Amino acid sequence: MIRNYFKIAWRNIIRHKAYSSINIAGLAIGMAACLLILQYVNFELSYDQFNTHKEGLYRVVNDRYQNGKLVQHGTITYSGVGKAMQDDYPEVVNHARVKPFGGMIITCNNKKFGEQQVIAVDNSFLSMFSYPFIAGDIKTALKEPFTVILTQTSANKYFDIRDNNYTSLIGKLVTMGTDSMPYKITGICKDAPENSHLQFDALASYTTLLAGKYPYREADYNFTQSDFWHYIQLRQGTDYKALQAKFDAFSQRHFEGNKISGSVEKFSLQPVVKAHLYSDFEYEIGRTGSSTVVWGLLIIALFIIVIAWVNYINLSTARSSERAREVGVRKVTGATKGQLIRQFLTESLLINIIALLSAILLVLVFQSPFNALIQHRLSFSFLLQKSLGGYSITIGLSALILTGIFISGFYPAFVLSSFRPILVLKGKFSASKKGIVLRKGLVVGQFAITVALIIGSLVVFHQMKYLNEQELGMNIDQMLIIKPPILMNFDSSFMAKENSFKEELKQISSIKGVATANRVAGDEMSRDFDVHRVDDNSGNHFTVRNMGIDYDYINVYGIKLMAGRNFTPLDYNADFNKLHNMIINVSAVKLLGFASNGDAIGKQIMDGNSRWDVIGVIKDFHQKSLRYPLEPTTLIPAYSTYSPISVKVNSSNIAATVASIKAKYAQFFPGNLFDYYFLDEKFNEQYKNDRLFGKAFGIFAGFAIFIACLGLLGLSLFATTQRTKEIGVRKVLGASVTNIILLLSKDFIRLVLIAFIIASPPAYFIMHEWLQDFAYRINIGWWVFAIAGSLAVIIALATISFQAIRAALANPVISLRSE
Amino acid sequence: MIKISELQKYYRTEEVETIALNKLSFEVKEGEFVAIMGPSGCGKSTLLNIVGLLDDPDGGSFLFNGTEVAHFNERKRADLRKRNIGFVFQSFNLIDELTVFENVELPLIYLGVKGPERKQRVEAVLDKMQIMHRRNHYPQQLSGGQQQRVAVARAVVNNPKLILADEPTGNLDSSNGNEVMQLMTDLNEQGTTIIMVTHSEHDSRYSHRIIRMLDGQTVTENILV
Repeated sequence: MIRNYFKIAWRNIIRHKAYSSINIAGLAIGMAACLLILQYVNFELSYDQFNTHKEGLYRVVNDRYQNGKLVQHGTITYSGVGKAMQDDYPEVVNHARVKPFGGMIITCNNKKFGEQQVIAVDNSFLSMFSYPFIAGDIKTALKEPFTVILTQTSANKYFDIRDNNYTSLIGKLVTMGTDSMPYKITGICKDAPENSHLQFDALASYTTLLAGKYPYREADYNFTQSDFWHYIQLRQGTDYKALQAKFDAFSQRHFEGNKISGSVEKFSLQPVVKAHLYSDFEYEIGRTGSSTVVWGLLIIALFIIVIAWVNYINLSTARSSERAREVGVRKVTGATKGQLIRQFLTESLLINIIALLSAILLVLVFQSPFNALIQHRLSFSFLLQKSLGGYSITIGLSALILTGIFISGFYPAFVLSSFRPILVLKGKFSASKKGIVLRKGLVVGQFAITVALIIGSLVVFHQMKYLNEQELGMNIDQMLIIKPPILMNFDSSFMAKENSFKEELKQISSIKGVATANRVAGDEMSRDFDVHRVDDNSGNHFTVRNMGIDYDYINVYGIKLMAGRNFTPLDYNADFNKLHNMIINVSAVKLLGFASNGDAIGKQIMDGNSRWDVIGVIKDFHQKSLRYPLEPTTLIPAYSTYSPISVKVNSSNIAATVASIKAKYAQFFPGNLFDYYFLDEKFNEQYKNDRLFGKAFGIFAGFAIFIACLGLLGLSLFATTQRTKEIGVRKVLGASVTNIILLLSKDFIRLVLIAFIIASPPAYFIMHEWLQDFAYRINIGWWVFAIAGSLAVIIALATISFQAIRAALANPVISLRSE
Repeated sequence: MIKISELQKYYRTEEVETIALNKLSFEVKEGEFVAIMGPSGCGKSTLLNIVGLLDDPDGGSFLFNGTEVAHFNERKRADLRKRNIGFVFQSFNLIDELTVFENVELPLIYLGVKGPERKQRVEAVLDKMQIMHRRNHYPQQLSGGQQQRVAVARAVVNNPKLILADEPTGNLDSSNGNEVMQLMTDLNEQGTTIIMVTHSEHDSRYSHRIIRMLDGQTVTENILV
């Protein structure tokens, strides 16, 4: 019997090639898109799942309030917080402080390796997280100061290891940056997995910060400086939200309201497994993704596959009249309804299996362009790995496919097997009204999804365009950023040397200007939380961003001076305590309550215990992406060996310019590694997730539209075949080709218009919500809907007209002869 | 074999109720060959559908081999039908996607007959109908007469006690038509009961008895043998 089911199913597929191709193509594309998206979704959800203690691992995050306003929503906090939590709460069984060193230069065997990501961590970090050791003692590796663990890749790179003899590296020394003490290698660990939010080339001992000639005392146990990251481990079974509820008391106990830190601290815990995908925090240490992108794509994946199955249901039931006679004959020859349902289910199973196999083939073909799009190395194996919520994606996918096959097969099977044999054998079969309504409903549903996706794509595209076109308040085009000479010592001669270097560069004809600042556009500026006007006795304290710049910075970046003057060389001093001039931006003028820009000039500001004179006011500029609002900012005349150097260049012959800069760099900063990048590219990386979302949205919306069109093509093919005689009669009676095309198209167009009306409000609502993440955003105009609606109608018309024109041009004699 | 008494069937639309069978009674004995004639709309086909257990009556009694089947549910009707009744239609109603062999095999599949036995029985009947050489052809590759022979083969493959034929020669030319009628006669002679609806006086003469219907009732019965 089963063999018979498969046989007839196979012959049906072969016999009705057009319908079968439409069905299989739609399903295969839908499934392939779904499989690709789910690989990505599962990968993004799999972050930090490799940690054995993941259930109990949390990081401490905090919101900081000043004058009742949230001034910082960050992952950084005070060095004493972790230990204090472990002391205060028995639920906290372990804690680790973490402090990244940033891009370091590591020297070993006289070879230098730049941009090495080194993180200082407590020894406890090694038992809390699961970065397995290849060599060394994991229990004690980071107890002593100036000890370091290398990852396998780093070890291979630094020491050219080929025989896997990592144990031989234990006890060897490496130098980091300008540190006078070398670091002893105490362990080699496996590389951090790609799905680890913490990425590093080496782990240094946290105790190093507290040792040496200039110990960093605030890094030990302190409640005033908040530059540290904390991870804690909770006792198994602890409800972290219940623990979190006790943190108000914790904050009160250690900070006494705002007495200790000058602001009200509100701590909370974030599960480590959510650190990657659910981080809207400032000062993010890890690699972050976007849950909006992930869930958005997941929804699109579901939409696409549902559209494909709806096509299958639609085409199968639309064609039911063709198969009615077969059903009648089978019933008359003794088939029961159950047997017929099984037969049609077999058919849908077969189609789905063929589609699934084709989808797998498609995925294999399109895997690498897809990987290029999302910038990950994904493969089928990512569908099977454990992620947030266990194996829910894997199980969900299997369940989805099975349910899809069953429902898409069952409904047509049920409809077909319900035919009354005497009617269909007499040729009195007509499609049921219910069936027609359902089919129309499904077409409306499909196109509603399509229209919503078009609207979504338009909004994303428009917002991205808006962000790119928005004035930043500074010019970052053709700005080459040279990595700072971090191996230099900051002493009285450094500033002069840097100025000479700049002057020499300015002599190069292709260079328009040179400047340095301790941050460049896109970098997070530091914040000062205790700022107020000297003449303001209200007791209010304010938070401002802060950056040290040279006297060229404002001009080179084209930042507009609104009042007062720019810095001059006379404002600078190697001794930080002797600096006293400050430039502020317009937002700071407003925050601090000056009457006007001009009013601020000559006034004094207290920043912590230092007194500053305002000498200039500049126009606000966007330091970060336009997701974030402009912030009050103060600029001080300061140099540092960690300040990147900005070089404004001509677009012509960049290679030669870079070569000249490199030669000068080597001359002025010997021993430092020369490296550079273009600022606009780096700045735009902030929109990486948004651009990915936009691209993926557009591409997969395209797929959805294509699949929906395949369905429409099938339905129009069917409708025109059904109406061949009618078309013949109408033509004989004088209908023009246009009349016929209109006749055949108007029903479908009506459905598309209904879909448009249904889809627009939810699409508006969802995209409006998405835009709320941006401080600077477009308004969704009526034209978005006009374009989406017109596009849907045009696409539908183009699809239908393919059939309609053919039918309209057919010779009526042929269609009428069959009578 | 079949005893019908006071059988009623109505067709209702929203506004009109049409009486298709009006308290009709008649009997067919085992081994009989009965022709039912009458003008279009007189209820012949309705009667055949009810006798074939494809439709249920609105009133009256229908005894099939002594069992009251008038109110059997769909499943019971299907079961009784596949074991006892074979159908032959004017338009053949072969399944285009199946070969001659597979079309004839269909009733045996639904009866649950095992593969080797099916093959044997199908081949036997195809042989008997002289279309064995066409066993692997599809219906559209056959002439009308050949198609109807396949349909007859399919109707008799499970050795039904009763064959219901609805204008079996309606789509055939006279020579093919005669061939089919001869097949029916042979089957009848081998013991199969046949009830045939026809417009053709010529065909009706192959039967033992002609029942003439008008407005859902029998009007005359002519016994020919």
